[in-house]
Amino acid sequence: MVGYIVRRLLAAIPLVLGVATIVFFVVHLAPGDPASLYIAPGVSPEAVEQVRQNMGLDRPVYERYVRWMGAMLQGDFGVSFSRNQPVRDVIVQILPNTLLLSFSALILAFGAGILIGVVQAVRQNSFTDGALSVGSLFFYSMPSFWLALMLILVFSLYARNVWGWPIWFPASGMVSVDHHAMGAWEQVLDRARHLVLPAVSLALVLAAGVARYTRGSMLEVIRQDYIRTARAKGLPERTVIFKHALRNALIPVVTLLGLYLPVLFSGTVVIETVFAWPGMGKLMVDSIFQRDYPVVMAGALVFAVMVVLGNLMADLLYAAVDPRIRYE
Amino acid sequence: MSPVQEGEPLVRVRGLQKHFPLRSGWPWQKRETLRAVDGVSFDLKRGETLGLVGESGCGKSTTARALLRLVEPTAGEIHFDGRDIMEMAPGELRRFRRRAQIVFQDPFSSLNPRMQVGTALAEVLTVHGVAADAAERRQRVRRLLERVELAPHLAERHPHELSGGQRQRVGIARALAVEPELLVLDEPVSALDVPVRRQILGLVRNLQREFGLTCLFIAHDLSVVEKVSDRVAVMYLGRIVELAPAPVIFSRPAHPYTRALLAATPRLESGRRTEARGPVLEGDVPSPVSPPSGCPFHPRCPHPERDDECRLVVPRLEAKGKTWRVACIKVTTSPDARS
Repeated sequence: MVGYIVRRLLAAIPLVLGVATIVFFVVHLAPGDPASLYIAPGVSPEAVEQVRQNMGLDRPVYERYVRWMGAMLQGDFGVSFSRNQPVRDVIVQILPNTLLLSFSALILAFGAGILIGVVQAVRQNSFTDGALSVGSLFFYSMPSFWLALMLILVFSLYARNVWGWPIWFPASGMVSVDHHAMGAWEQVLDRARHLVLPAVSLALVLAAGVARYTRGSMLEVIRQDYIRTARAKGLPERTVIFKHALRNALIPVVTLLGLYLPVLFSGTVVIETVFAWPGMGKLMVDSIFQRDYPVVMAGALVFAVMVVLGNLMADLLYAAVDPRIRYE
Repeated sequence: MSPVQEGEPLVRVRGLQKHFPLRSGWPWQKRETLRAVDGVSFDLKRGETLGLVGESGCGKSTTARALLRLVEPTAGEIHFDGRDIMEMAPGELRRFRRRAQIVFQDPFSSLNPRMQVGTALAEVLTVHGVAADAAERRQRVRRLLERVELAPHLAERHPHELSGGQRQRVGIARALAVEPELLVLDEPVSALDVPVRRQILGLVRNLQREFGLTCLFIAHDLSVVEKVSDRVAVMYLGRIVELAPAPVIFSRPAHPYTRALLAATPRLESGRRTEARGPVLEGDVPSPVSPPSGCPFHPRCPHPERDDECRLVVPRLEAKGKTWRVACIKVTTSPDARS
């Protein structure tokens, strides 16, 4: 098992380096001059040249690539152009925000999706099944930025200003302006409230997919002989469905975990921007607009590493849920 | 075979029907139904073993599952120990599940792949409150495995680590765990190799003797049923066409279908010849969606006296002797007279 993990991690190294190389050239060959963004208008040409030199932009691309790669392998990702701060510090600050958002969305998506899928499978071809199918397909087909805007419109704007609902959710940021003045418990609640809309809009698309998948998998398992065995044993229907059927139906659903991680991370790019959530996705978008090359490259690498690790975790989980699978 | 007690039968099946509606593609199409079981009646006396034989798709398994209320019959009555099982409330149904158990055909798919053998067996004990605590459960699981001639350490194995024969033994152990009165064996050896098949049949016979079980033994192969049954019922297209004591079926079958089935069965003892050797059947079983009119067997029937009447009259399962019943209008004499 340990040997398998080590081998998988070693195999991931060339992959990550390849991603790094491609990202480097895409970023550097894109049009636009970072230096021009960071100087005041009317500065002397000598000063501009000085800025370019400081950023290392005066050297040829291949030399910059070798230097960057060398530094990166030693754990040095350079200094952010826009923030005048080591890139590593920026990412260490911001990564936890994205992890909080993604994992909340992931738990929400799989929790709700699995539950809906089970209900659909147990009531196959009923009205409930049809309604949930249509609902899933609707959310699956909608672009997430539009969904996010609709959620803001309904649960933030109208809920508070028009309909006066007792419950509404903030539309942007991670905490309220007066967050520092709150008590400890209120601070937790405040964070949770800010998390709701972004996590839900990120989760909806995934939940719809998980529900479809769980439904199919459950329908297959429910027809199996061992489910009839479980009924013949005299087990209550609840035990038959959740203990015997669902546990077996979840085996293929676990693979979705690995498949959905890239979808999830690319989703954060849009969702974090819409909700002004200070995470990796928003950082990437901002950095691209500001031609902040070091941050863009490091951010892409972090996403790549997270996807690789996530897939490894999904595979290990696969072995944990299915006793027939053993990794050597 | 075990001593058969006279008196009230343990199971009484009357006019059992199970129709499956087929999904039609379009709303204006006529809805068709598959008549899997179409009016089956029989009794199971306490302590007896009834063999149920027929080709695939003739409704054997559906009959078995209806008997345990694993499928809901369309019509008909099933009484277990005097109680209509269709009227049982959940609590009574659970007590019924303890008294009536089933061994399924496919030992590869009838065990939950994620459960260790011991856990699966212990679960039955827990649900029916058979064992007081974990220690007693472990003890009982051990004894069950011994009873079906399996090593106790197999309790910690998952089903995929066992062979087909071992899995079927686990299936039998699971059924026996609650010490049932009725055991339905739904083609328990069809999926097994021949040597393993003989071992399992031997085991079933030992268990019948030991526990005095009432059994319904289903097979598509007559030679399998012969060894374990007191009486044999032959099914064709959802109906019983002949029901008689096993020796009668195997030596002097009356229904043309039984004779044809017997003729097609390779016998283990080549020395024993029967006069039943008849013509081999041609063609396939008609679809139970649109069964033939009259006698369902008439299109394939090799009987020399087959005529238009067979196409019109649905033959009832009628007593033609003391213990012998046939559904064929051309069979009139009793088997004793015929021999």
